[in-house]
Amino acid sequence: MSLNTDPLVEVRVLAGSLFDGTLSLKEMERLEVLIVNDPACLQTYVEMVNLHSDLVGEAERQSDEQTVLRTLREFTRTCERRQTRKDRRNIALTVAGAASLCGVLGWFLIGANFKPASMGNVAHLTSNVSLKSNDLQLGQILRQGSTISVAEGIVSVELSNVMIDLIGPAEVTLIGRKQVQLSQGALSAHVFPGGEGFTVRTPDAEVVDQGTEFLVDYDPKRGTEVAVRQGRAQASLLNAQGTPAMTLELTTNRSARFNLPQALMEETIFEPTQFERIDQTRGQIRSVIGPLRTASEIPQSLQSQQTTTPSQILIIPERQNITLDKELSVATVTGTVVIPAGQVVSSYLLHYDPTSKATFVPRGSVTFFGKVAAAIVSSKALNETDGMFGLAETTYDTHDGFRGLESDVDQVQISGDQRTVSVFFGVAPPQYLDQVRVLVLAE
Amino acid sequence: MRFVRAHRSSFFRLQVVEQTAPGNEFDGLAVCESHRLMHVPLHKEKLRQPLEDSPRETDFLQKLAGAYRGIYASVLSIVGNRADAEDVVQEVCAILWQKFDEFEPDKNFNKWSYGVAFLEAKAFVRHRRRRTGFGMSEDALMKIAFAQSAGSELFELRRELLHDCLNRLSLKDRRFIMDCYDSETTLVEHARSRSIPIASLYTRLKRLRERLMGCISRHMQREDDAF
Repeated sequence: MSLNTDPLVEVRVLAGSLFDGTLSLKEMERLEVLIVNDPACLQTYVEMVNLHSDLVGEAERQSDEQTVLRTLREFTRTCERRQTRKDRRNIALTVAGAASLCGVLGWFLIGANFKPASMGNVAHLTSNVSLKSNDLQLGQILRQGSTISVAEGIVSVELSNVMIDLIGPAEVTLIGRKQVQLSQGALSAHVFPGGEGFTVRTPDAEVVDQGTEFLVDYDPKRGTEVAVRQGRAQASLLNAQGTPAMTLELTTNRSARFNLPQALMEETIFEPTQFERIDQTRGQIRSVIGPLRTASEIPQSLQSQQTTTPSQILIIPERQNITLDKELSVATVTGTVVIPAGQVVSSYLLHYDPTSKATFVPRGSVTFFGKVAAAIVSSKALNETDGMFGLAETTYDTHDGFRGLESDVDQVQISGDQRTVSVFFGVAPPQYLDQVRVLVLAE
Repeated sequence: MRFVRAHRSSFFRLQVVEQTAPGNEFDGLAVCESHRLMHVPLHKEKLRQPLEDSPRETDFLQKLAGAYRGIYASVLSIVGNRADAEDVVQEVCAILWQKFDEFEPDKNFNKWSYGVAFLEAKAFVRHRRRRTGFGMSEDALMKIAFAQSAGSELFELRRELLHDCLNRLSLKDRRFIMDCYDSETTLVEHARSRSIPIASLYTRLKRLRERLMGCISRHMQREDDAF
């Protein structure tokens, strides 16, 4: 609005936005300042209001008498609806009175078992997760209205055909099966077929998925940033009443910023690096059960006693989406596996190095979106595949003969649908380090 | 005044204010015991009191129709946006009907109804401001109400000029602006149906409003010069 140097023009524009329901709080304050301090602005405001009123009258295409009758008719309908609501409320109050009496008795007899509907479950946590309020467990069912407040790390929640990753510090509330409210921080959403229409709301914006992968980042000062990595999403700027006022369709590799106080909706430069944290920590992991956590940072060394895991098994997403330029033959837990050339493969290393006897049972499973092609468990095969699948920034014990699993104490199984790897790591002192490399095919 | 057993087994004091075409089933507007307007479906056999036999109601409707645009503008000047204004105007019409018995026939109905409209709109804004923090201060609202009331005759003139100015627009622009102000569809729905970004729609609407305001002001200036 500051671009309008003429205050009368500014008043006309602001009055127009007010009429259309798109005026922000800040603009409302500006309009008030102009009206209160400048009689010419006040006069312009009422002239503009009367113009809107007259245009509404012109657009009605009916006489004032007909308009009055219509208004009264609408009012009676409103009255009837209110009367119905009142009747219902009276019935409800009577029923509620009786029910509360039964409820009090029932509470003692059967306990309070009523819970809001289940919305999804905690699918994945990074090793550094810390929560602001209540504790979260892997697999824990999350109900309608629950709020997840993450101080640090990443919490992944699996909803119906939607996976969301909450990147701390962040806070999200599960409003419904297909709607969440982001009140702080960033979340990425991966929407699968059947999950279309999934909606993320922030105080500034509403993002409705149309089959996509997108990231929403909200900061009270900066506003809301929306980036779409794949597919399409309808992103709208909300007005002060919380209804969409302006809308924008974002497609692959596009992003935009929304700011309600500034009434701003602008396209911005897409930054693919925004998604890197999710790729590096969760990759294609769908869910995890047991004491498994993904590494929050890339480890410098995975040699014995360098990255110890006293209370968990680490999952380290290694190189992702590698297209094999030649056939790969590798020894795995199920025998030698041949992966043909041209296949796109992602690698995950399960790393367990407790350094002494574990204080927990190191048993768990990890499920991937794609099919597991191979679970490499022998030291020799691990050493041979470090170069192809290992992280460039990480040092591996390529000459260690004991980093693989010992067949008598360790167990690795691949599920029938080839999407889940279950592990149990036994301890055979003095060698504590156990590693398994899982190769997953792209979906 | 008649007593009719209504569909919810309670008694209503019926005062007919509207009738559909003869022969059709009657949908009557009536005032229930709580003095609220109710929509009561009745069969025509039960109706013996046509509209012209209810002079009080006819009088109210005529007066309300004459004041309607001013009421709407008064409410709009206070609440600001269209959706809220329409809700408040409905309430104002009902209140005016409820209080019509208190209205003295020799007084100015328009002035009385604008006063009621202002109070109702102010109460609405106060409530909204408490709930959402959105709305102007009492000081600003008082100034607006004063300016609105003081300029009522001027606005009548501007309304007449608007009609001329609308006719000066191209048919396409006139249809566009009429569609935007039609209460049946929201602007977002318009944008969707035309497959245009909502921002473009707002820009075009803003430009047309400026043209209309400019046209009205130029006409006003000419009228002033003529004096």
